[in-house]
Amino acid sequence: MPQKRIYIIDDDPIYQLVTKKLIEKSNLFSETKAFGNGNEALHYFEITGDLPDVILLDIEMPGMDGWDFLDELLRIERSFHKEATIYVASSSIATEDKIKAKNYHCVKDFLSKPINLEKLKVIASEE
Amino acid sequence: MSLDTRITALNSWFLSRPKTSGLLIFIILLSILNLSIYFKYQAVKQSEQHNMSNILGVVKQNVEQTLRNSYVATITLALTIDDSGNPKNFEEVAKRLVSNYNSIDAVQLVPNGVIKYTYPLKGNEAATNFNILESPLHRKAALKAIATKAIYFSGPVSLKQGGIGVVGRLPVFKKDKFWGFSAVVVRFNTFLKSTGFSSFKSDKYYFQISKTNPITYKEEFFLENKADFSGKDYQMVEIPEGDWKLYIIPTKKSHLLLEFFPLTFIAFFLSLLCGLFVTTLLKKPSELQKLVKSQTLKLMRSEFLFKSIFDHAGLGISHTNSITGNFIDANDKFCEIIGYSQEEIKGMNFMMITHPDDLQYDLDNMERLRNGEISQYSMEKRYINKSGETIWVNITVSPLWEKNERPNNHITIVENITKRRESEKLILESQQKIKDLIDSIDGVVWEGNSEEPGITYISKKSEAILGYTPEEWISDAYFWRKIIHPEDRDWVIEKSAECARERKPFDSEYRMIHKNGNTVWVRDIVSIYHESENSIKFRGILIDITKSKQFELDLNNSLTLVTEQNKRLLNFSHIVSHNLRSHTSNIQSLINLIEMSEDENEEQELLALLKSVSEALNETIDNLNDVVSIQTDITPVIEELNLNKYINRTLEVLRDQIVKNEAKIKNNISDGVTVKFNPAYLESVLLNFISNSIRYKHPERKPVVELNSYIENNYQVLEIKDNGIGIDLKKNGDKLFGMYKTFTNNVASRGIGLFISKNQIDTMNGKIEVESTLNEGTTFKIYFK
Repeated sequence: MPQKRIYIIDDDPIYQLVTKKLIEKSNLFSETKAFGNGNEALHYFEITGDLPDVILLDIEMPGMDGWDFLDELLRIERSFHKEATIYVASSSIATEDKIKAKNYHCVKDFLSKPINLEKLKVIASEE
Repeated sequence: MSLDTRITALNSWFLSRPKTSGLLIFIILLSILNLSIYFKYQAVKQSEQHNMSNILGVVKQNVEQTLRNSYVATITLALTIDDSGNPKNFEEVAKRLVSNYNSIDAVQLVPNGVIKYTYPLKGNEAATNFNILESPLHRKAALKAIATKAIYFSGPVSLKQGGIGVVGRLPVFKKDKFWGFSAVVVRFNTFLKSTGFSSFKSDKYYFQISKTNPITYKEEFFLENKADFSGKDYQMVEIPEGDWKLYIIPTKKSHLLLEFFPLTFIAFFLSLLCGLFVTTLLKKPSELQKLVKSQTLKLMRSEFLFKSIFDHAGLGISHTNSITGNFIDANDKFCEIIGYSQEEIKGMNFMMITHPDDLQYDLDNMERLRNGEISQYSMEKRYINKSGETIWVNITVSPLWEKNERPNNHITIVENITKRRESEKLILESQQKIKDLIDSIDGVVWEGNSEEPGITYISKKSEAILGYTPEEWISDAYFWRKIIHPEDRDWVIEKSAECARERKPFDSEYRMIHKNGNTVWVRDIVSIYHESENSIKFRGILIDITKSKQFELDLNNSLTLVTEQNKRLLNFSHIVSHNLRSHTSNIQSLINLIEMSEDENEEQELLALLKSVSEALNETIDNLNDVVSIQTDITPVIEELNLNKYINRTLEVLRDQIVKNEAKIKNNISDGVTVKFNPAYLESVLLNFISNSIRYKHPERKPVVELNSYIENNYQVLEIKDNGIGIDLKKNGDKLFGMYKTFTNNVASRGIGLFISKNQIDTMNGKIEVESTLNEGTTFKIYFK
């Protein structure tokens, strides 16, 4: 099984950096990229058509938040006939966000920060 | 029965029977008239009879005169006979006799029945020597004369010498020996002449002479007109010397009756006429009398009726002198009402039994009645009965005089209404009780109906609750809607109209304006009552709920506050979980990486990151401290602060930013404007909003910030208007004042400023509102209490 490509969308630069480093060290994914907010990521997807296999998505973001991003992503995915598996990664403990996430078909799971090696292994092994 | 009444009875008897009376008059009149006619008839008849008998008497005398003359002549003649039976100087004596007596035509001496001597001989020669005793015609008469030894007249017979005559024969005896006869011959014509018939001759009567035939014994008539007259009113005398009967006979059969018949007829008609006249004359009075009789009967009946009404009426009736007020008469019921007897009442007047308080009004009415100002009157008044009790009565006074007549008496109809009065009093009392009860209800009770706008009743409480008297309410059909609070008026009217239309009860809370201008919260509960098919009644109660409404509002405010606090708390917990966790998770990850790292450079790099995370954590904790301090500082100091002074201080702090961004600040606030606020909070709030206005400037234009202040609903408002990028309120409105909510990618936005400002304003009982259009600008309104 070829390794998956995993992209991070999060406004916390330290999280971005740390998580990216962890993914690289784990050697579980073939490629990783980080975006500071939804708009940035969508802009990139639209231009390049480069959609990853997995997205680690933060919810609480200024400007376009996670949910807005999801709506936009679905539109782009349809035009590229590709589908990314979304993992919502949040430090929030609010249950309402968990429930909301389940309404999105493309959202595979709701993960609590921090993202560690075990969680990455699970993501990598998921079909 | 007196005579008069008998006459009256008789009169009325006749008057009532016109036909009988007419018939009676007819019969009586007819009888009287016929009787008088009869008497008249009798008188005429008698006078006629008398006349006839007179005439007959004269005739008889004449005949008797002739006979006497004849007798004298025969005697004279007989005296001429001498003793030898020979007449002496016959011629001479005879001559003298015949010339003396006109009634004698001839004289004869008949010795032994043979006619020997006759004077005058001339014309009588044939009789000489005629033996009368042998003549059947004369023998019987001759023998009768001999037998009676008196003169006897025979005839009228046919004479030997011719003609008809009467012969009187006197038997002459000489020496008691029959000698012969001395006779006179009277010719029938002469005889008739001597009777004087001719002098009595008239149309009225005729005469007849009869003699019984000596041979046939039949009565023979000798004059003309021998018709049977036995049916006629004849008279007759007999002359025995000749056995004659003299008759006087009315020419016609008695016409007297016939003559009187028209009179009878006239009498009959006259009577009939009178009878009819009387009948018709009596008919009128009879009809009138009948009418009078029936009217009298009616009158009697009605009098009886009225009398019995008067006596037995269920109402008291008195007959009173209108001038003096004295009772003339009163019925039993009246006596029963006032407790006096009939006799006692007759000595009293109505003033004596009328309650003094009611007397003047009664007298005034009576005065007006007497003056003709009113035709009758009714009033309720009190009598004092014999026992001294008060009796309530309703009297109706009707005058017994006609218009334009002098007042005399009147009738008073009296109804005892004491019981009714008592029950009315009870009803009034209970009504008053209900009214008092309604008025004591702590709400405005009202009533209206579907037929007319407005209300028909409203309780007195309206004055206490809304300041308006019931009169003010009732006088204006649209009063209610006029005093509804303008903000509630439209929906309340619409809803009540809808409920009325659909016949549904109405229960709403709305505001009304008290007469003094205050707002009064009311709960209006309206029920619907069906009176009839088409009309419905509304009954409602307006309850003053201002106080409870205030409580409710306060409660709502508290609830809002609590909810807000809760929200903030929840937010806070999220902040704690999210913001702290994001840092701790970063620290965890970094430590993990450091442990995994084998490269020293990398380790150093990671440690530097760890340090920045620790700083960020520190900052977050500081921020949380700020928030917590606002939340926990329950009674921060409040001072009256000059707004411009604080604005200027803030602008001084932001001077670098203003200059750098070429921002223009327009402060339109006058110097005197103050707000009651905590000084530190005001500094923080002003700094936050003004710096935001500059920070979130529109990239294509220089920032302009306009500051205004005015009073709105008891709040001093500070308006901060910018021309910045604006906020999508639809999307972010609810998050605007949340902690760590940022809506731009501006690196300076921390998501904490508005959150803290909001908390500070809330704590000061103020509020904050925002209006914004994307790409045009945002206006914040801060309301200072």
